[in-house]
Amino acid sequence: MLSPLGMSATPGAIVRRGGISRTVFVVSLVLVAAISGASGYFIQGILHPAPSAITLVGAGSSFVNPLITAINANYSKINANVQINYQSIGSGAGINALGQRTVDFGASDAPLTTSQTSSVSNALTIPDTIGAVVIAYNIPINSTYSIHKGLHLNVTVAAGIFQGDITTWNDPKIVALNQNSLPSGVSLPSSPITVVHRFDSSGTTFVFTGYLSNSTVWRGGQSKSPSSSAWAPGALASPGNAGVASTIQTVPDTIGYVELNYALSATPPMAYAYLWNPNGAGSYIEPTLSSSSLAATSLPSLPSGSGNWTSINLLNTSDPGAYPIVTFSFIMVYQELNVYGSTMSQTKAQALVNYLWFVVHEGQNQAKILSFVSLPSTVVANAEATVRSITYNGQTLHG
Amino acid sequence: MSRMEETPLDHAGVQSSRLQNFSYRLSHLSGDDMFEVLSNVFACTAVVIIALTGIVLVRGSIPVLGKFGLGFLTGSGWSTTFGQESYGMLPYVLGTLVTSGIAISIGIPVSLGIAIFLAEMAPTSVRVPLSQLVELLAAVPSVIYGFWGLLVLSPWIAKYVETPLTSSLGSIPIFHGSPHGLDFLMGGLILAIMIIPTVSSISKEVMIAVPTSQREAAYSIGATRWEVVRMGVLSYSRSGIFGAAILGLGRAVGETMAVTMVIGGALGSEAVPTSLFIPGQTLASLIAGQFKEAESLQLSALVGAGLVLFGLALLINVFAQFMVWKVLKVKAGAVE
Repeated sequence: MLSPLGMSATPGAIVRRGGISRTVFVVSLVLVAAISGASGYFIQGILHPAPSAITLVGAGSSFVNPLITAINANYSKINANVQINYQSIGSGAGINALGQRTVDFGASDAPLTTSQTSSVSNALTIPDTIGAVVIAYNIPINSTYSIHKGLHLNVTVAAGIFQGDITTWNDPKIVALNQNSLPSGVSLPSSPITVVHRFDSSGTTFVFTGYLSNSTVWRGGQSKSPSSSAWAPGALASPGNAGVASTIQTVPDTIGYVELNYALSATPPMAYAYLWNPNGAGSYIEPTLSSSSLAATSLPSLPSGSGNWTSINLLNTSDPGAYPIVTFSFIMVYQELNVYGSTMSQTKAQALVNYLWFVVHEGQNQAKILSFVSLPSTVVANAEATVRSITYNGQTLHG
Repeated sequence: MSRMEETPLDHAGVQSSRLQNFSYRLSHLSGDDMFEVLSNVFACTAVVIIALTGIVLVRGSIPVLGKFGLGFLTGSGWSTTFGQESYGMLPYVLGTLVTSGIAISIGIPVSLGIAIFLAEMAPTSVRVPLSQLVELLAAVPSVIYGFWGLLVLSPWIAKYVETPLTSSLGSIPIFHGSPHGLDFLMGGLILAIMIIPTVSSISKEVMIAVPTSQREAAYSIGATRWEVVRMGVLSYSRSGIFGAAILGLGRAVGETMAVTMVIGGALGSEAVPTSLFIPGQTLASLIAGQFKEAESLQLSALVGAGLVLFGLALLINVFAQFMVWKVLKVKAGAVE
């Protein structure tokens, strides 16, 4: 009767019935039907350019997205009839999609959890790259000098900073680790430290809090999205690696954590900490592609592709030269591809296996270019065996 | 004149003739009938969409509601660690209400000022381009407001508003904190800016629709310009302006992208709005920020947050309908 806006119908307005003639109505209906039918036909043609083309669909981790996208472009150059469509919807969502069989492979920064294994049965775990997390900071000393990379930290002091027990740069605990490494005449400022963490739920946070959990002082536990009470009071949150990096670079006296490939390729260059590795004589390790790769080299043995990877941990490995905050990134596929029913075929299964083989071989060269850590040969051998074990209707696909 | 006179009779007439002619019409489908059927079908889609949304939200939040019960609404926990999960929506409900409250209390007066100027004072040569400019503001995507808020407004507010307030009035709890410009106040401010175009352009239309006789009547008893606006225009268009404010509130409650970029992203008990200058979280920004990597119970908790937001929006709408009805009932006769 009355619209909520209180504007009643204009007095005297004529209510027209049958304003559109029947002919016009029918003709326009027919037109709309014809146009939508025709466009549907043509758009379908665009989506499937040739009957022989195969489209593989993957989804998951946003961390590997730049690498996978580059690998996919290279792969399609060599194999023109195979298109790979990767959706970076997040690790958890990628594994869910694999469980619902809406994608051909999932990518995750963490091994399958127990609850995931029940929803994605008989899935194989294939390492595709290695990720490292660096502690980045912004410490202005004076107008001309700021500490570039190389602040020395260990896990206890890092945990103390990130949960707010250590509140200034010149705290004795930080000074004790750095007094021999700073240039003469330079001392750490007394300004208060502001912690920057991820706004969004993130695999990066999961790895980083996993590292902090190795310290007995850390109270926050390991989580993709810890409660704010885990972080120092007054901590800032920014979305994504890009958000955290730009907050650190624009707000003075901040400290946070970002992916290694992000820190290495950032402009202007980011300042990041060297972390204490107690193995051997003990040393502060600079985060680099090679020091991250060492973490995976030193693992005694890896499980098989169908095995349980939850215990595989690249944090604080035993190699004296390894950077301590390192993690695998994985691709998950079904071991027996006939679970997809009629949407899978022998040729598509073959294409998927060829693609995965490409990822763990040629794809690793692409990794270096993009500041991702390429897999060491021991891990590649493990991934090869896993790719070989993929079957379609019981037949292996890689000779 | 009353607005209710013509409608009831009109409807009854149409309905009876509809019944009489039903079988005839069935065999002679006219364009009118087709139009009527189509309209009914399309009208039903609104009901169906609301119902389906509700069903999906309830189904998705069953695991988390089953585990925490009412504590899901009243708790403030946030723990995603397997085996120790804890999710409470209270901080985000409060955060939504606080940011929307700031938005309304800043946005509505500004919008009313714009509307009064455009409808009552501006000459046509100013009114037309300025109205279009205001409406253009409504077309700016929210992510753009977010960017601008994050890169331009937030550092400025932190430096020139929040820091002085904290240092002078920091002893008052709501000004406590170490301001960085990404907090409840900033979230509310960006929302205030975003609701201004909607509220002001609707209020302006409502004011323009006020019959000239209202203004003439006020002038004739010797009212000043402000009194004309207050007595003749504002009180006549009160329900319409209230409706516009509710539309603005609705947008503020559900707005996601811009708020997500400037609210600060606190989780758990730290997200309870105890001060304007601490990082916060609204229901919408919580879902946007956490959804991507969420799984199992955390996913269910986020669907639950969606259900709470859905309920909150419905409540606001019901309340608005009630208020509009009440305002009209009181004013009926008094104005006309």
